[in-house]
Amino acid sequence: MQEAILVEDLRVRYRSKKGKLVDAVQGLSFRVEPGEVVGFLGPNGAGKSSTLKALMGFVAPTSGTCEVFGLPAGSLEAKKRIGYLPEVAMYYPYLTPIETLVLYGELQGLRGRNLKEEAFQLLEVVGLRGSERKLNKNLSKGMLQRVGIAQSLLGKPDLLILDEVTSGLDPVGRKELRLLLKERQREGATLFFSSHELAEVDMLCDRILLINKGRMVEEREMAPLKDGLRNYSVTFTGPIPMHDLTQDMETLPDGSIQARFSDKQKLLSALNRVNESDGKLLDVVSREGSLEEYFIQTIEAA
Amino acid sequence: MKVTVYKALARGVLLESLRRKDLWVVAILGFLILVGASALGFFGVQGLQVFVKDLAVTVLGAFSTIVAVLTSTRMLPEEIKQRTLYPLLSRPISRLDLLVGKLLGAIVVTWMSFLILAALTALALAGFQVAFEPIMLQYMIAKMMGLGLVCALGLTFSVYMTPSAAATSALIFTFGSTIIVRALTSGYESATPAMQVVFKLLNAILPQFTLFDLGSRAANVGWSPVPLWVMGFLLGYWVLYTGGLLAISWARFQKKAI
Amino acid sequence: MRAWLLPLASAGAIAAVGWNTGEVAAIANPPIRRVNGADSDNSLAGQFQTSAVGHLWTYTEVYLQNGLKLRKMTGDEIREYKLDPTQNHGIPIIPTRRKDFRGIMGDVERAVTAWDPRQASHRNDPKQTMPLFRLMTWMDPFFVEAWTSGAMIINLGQTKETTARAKEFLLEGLRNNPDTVDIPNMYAMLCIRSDRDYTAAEKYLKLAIENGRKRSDALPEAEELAFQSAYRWLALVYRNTGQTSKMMEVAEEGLMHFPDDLVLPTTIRPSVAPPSGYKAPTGVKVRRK
Repeated sequence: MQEAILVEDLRVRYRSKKGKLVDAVQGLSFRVEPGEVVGFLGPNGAGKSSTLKALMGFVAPTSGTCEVFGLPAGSLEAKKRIGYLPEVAMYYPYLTPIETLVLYGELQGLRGRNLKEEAFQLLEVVGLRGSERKLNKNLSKGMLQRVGIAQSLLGKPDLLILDEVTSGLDPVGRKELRLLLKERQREGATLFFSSHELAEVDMLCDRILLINKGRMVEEREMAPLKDGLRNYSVTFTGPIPMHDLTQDMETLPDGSIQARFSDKQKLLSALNRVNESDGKLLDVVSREGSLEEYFIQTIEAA
Repeated sequence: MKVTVYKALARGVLLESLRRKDLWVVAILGFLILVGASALGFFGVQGLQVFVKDLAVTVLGAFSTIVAVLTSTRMLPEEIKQRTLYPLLSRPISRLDLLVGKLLGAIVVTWMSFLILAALTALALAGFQVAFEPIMLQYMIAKMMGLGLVCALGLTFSVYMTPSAAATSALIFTFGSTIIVRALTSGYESATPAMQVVFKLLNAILPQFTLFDLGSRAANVGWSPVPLWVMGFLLGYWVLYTGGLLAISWARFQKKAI
Repeated sequence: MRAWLLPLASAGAIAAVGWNTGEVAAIANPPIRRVNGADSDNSLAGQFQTSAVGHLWTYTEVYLQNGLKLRKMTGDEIREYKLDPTQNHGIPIIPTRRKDFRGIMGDVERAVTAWDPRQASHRNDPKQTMPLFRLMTWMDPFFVEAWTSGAMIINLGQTKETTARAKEFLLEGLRNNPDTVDIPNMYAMLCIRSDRDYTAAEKYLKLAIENGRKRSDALPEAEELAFQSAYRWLALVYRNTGQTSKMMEVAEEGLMHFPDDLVLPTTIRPSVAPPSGYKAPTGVKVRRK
């Protein structure tokens, strides 16, 4: 099956205002399969925006391949299948949300009553019902972000490229957005988004790509990553040998022993031993690992 | 499809301009023209027709040119600065489509300003018992074509320069067009053969805004309307030149990282 | 855009008010004194004023020629067209087809511009230029020729009404230029020609001569001609009012300044007497031989 996004050895070079050449992306390669939800992470200045701009055709790659559904990135055919949310939500200040969506819809190739109906529906879905006819300049940052989300969903694109999608949204708005994006994914859309909100990444993504200084640092599936980050502890009494399963043990003030495991299999083995022995099982705790700590440690190590 | 794209873009420019109340300012200026015109009345209405017509074409030409320059030179830089360009270009439209659509929008706004001013000026002229003649209609049509050319020039400059530099350059080219043309025609005979070649080149390349100004015929007495072939030539010149300017704009804009 | 056009709008408002009342002129237009016949102030504002007014002055000719813009012929052109080289000749600024290298673009410019004198050649009613003179006097109240030429244009019809308006215009000019010779001289001429008002004429001619005396060493050409004319007219006034001795005094003084003047000796010649049927204006004694 054709990849939704194919990036191979992408290099993007800019000339800064002072005339210096800056390598924003240096040999980045990755793929995104249709239907996936992929998070694109990295610290500020890592090259995320440059990569997204190359995918959208806003900047020309210095070298390398950049394709969307097998089509050259930035081509009209590719753009027909993409819904894009820019990082900073700016729309024509003197147009209303409905006019904004109709404008973009017409540029997308949509027409007439269908377009208007879809536009109204999208504005309702993103929670802007009642504000359709206010001028954009009178909307708050969060409302403008919703306009942006709505315009990215026009025409039910196959691929959503979202830059800082939850920026400006309150927690309720974020939850609604997550549900909306999940629904789009169920409908077959591919999501590729960059975000600094690791909680959103955690909840949405199937896979994450971590970049730094224009290069790929790590590419991980979310499920195994979260499993890897998760840790468990078992608290028990009795002389039950656990040293072969873990070295991380502690005797608590009440005389009980707490053994900590990062591996689920070892936890299960430990529980079996407690059951089979004369010891007493007092507590089993499962803790989710911190994605943020993982992110920081990985970047620092890179 | 392309026509819809251009219409959508042009409509966006027009709506923004209307709601920003730019055209209100034009109307206020036109009203001031009326007030100023009424101040001339103390010499009596008789015998002022040439002056008021001359004043009308001068003021109309100057103000509408300024509107054209200011509208066309700030469109793209504002889009880039405000970052409204990203959601536009994320659509399946080419950068050339964007330029054409924006240019059409600038032309529509400029023509609307011109027509508002022309309507108010016509009211003032009616007060001086100046009848509307066919040459005046030709003046308006030619002027509108000229304003379209000004918009194209302003847009081209805005792709290559900062907005202020673009506006200044466009104003120099439009208001200085007469001086440049007169310098070329008067200096040609006494120039060396090499310089004559340069003069011919300049004449071919530089936009000839003087061709679109029928003001001297419209303001004075007894000048016949211009032949139809002249209006046809002006239309062709405008279309070709605008196409050339769009090509020059596109050459830079398509490579511009945004 | 409002930020850009607001200053223009304000300027337009000021212009409109200034046109109407004349009262703003002194505030918006700081006086640029023409001292001892100096043509203009050397400041930038003064030079702008002079240029703008100069442009309007030459533009009156464009109005009179129905929009045709002419330039002075070069020596080569005068020879080519076999014209009198001692005279100034004008030629349209847009060259003919024969002399134009621009091909069709030249043809188009000739078609869209008021170019060809054969097409609509006539002298426009000079009254059409009146607003230009009014503009000149507003932009530069010290431009004396604008006042005098404007008054001439106003009084083209030579009716009582036009004369009264012309005189009012000249009085305004005199208020702005109390030291000028030309304006009071012209005012006096109007008094004599239309009303035979020798009393008023005498007052203004004396003023003109007084002003001329003060600046006689540095009068511009127009003022000098007016100075000469003032002596002639005043001598005529005294002759027609029977004040012979004053007539002689004025004539002597005039001939002292203008020894080549041909009119003054004729005016004071004793043999010049009114014809027998001549009826003097009321109150004037006819001089008998």
